[in-house]
Amino acid sequence: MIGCAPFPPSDPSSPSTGMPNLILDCASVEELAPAFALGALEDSEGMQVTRHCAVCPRCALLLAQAKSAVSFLPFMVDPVEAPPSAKHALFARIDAENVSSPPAAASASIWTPSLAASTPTLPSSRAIPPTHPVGDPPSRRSGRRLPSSWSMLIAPLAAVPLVLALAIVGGWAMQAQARLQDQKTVLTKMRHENAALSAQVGAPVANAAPLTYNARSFTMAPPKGSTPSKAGGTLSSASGSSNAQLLVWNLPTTSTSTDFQVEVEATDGARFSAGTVTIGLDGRGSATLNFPTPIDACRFVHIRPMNGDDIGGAANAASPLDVLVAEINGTLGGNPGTDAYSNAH
Amino acid sequence: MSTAMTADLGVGAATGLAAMSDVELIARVADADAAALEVLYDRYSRVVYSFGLRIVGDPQLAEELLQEVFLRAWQQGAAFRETRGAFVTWLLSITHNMAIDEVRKRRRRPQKADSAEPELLLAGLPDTRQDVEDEVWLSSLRATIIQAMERLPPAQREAIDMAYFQGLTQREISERLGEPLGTIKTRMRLGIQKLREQLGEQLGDVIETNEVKPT
Repeated sequence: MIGCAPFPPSDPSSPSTGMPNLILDCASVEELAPAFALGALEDSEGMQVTRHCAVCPRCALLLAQAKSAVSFLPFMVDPVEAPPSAKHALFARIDAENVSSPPAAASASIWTPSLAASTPTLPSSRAIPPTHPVGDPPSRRSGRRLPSSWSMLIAPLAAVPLVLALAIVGGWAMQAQARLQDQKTVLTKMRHENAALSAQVGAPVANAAPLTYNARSFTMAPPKGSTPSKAGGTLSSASGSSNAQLLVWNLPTTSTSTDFQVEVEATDGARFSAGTVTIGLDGRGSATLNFPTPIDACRFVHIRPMNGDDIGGAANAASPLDVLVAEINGTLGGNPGTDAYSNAH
Repeated sequence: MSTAMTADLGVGAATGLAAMSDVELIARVADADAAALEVLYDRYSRVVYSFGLRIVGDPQLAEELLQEVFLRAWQQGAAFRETRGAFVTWLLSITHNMAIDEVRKRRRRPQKADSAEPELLLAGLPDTRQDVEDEVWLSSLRATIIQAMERLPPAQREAIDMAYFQGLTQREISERLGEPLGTIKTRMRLGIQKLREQLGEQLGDVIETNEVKPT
């Protein structure tokens, strides 16, 4: 059996501040996995299970097995036909929304081989009889008729300008078609990227607790004294909530450092894990965080590389490895931080 | 491409799409192929609608839910990952999430006095069967799952039904039944464990693919 991550057993309280330890152990997750698969957990429990399974392959497998069994339950229901109006309404909405559909491929190129092969018909004329045997010198301007070999070439030669014109137009059409195809490829790629980003941003939002009227967002920024960068982020939560949604961008990463630890700092300076965020190649990342206390009781939120790499933190700061910090509630007192930034509401 | 164009594609193109697998079709949907979505709709609208109706208990709501589910598939088709499971599982997962959200919203609002029980609504609706082969396969699958559920102890079956089809959390089930929370957790865990054992025995590889055979 695959070994578990070395999670400590559930501890009623943490040693320093008495706040509850919310990290689930494998036994708890094993008990909760079926309820998770059924959708019967509270939001906070579900998030804890998700976080545990993200780092524990054994529990992730247990959860997948539970989900597999649950996935058959819909087929218990006796199937009935959906009203035809549903299909009409659905595809009418899709047609109305489908504004970025690329134009259909050109039905036919303007230039086709068959056109090139055809030649304009010449007005009917009498066949010019040969006036001299083959090999005789060309006729002079004495009114004598052209040799038959020359007359046979007139029609094809007359068609050459037309063929050239058609070739030019046809070439342009093929180039236009190629450009359209390139644009279609780019559009498809952009659509895929957009969907991937939407899924990346939408998933944590869908699983997070709904923001209330007192929703607030806080700006995450590089601490003072750190290496200048364009890193930034926002932390969104609600007054009284222990959950928050994190979005970060332009975070520097290295080949060994793509995972970042998110920690919340209490009034006495003690830090507690609130989750992790993984950064993509584009420097962006998102996560749903779970604080040990309501956010109003937190002083700062810090983000730093999980592996302890120094990738540009403020060397003289209290937390030299931090790459982003947000001040949540500066009125709580405690040690004045070197990482105070304005809050956005 | 408008669905009106589907008729213009001709028999050959329509037949080609109908023979494609779900994975191929959803890849085309991600590329804004509405005809591919139409094929998927024809395959799965019944199970999605029926499942949604079973949960929300209102045909009008179930119809809206059906549209929203396939609209989500149209908008987020690129987000589907074959490695995470079958397409129909993904679709029904979306259906379940949306339906449960709706049920929970309604619980916070006064309900209509004349809302019927979901099972009665389903019994009253016509079932116009289409493909015989698919219908036989689905009937067999349904019978297997119903049989597996009926083999569970009633308490475990009830806990699973209240959670999955009524959208209740463990805590809410515990309060409704007047049972300790730990008891409800154990019932769910053992119920799902037994369900998996029985389905694994009888369905075997079907659990892994779980895909309706193309017509």
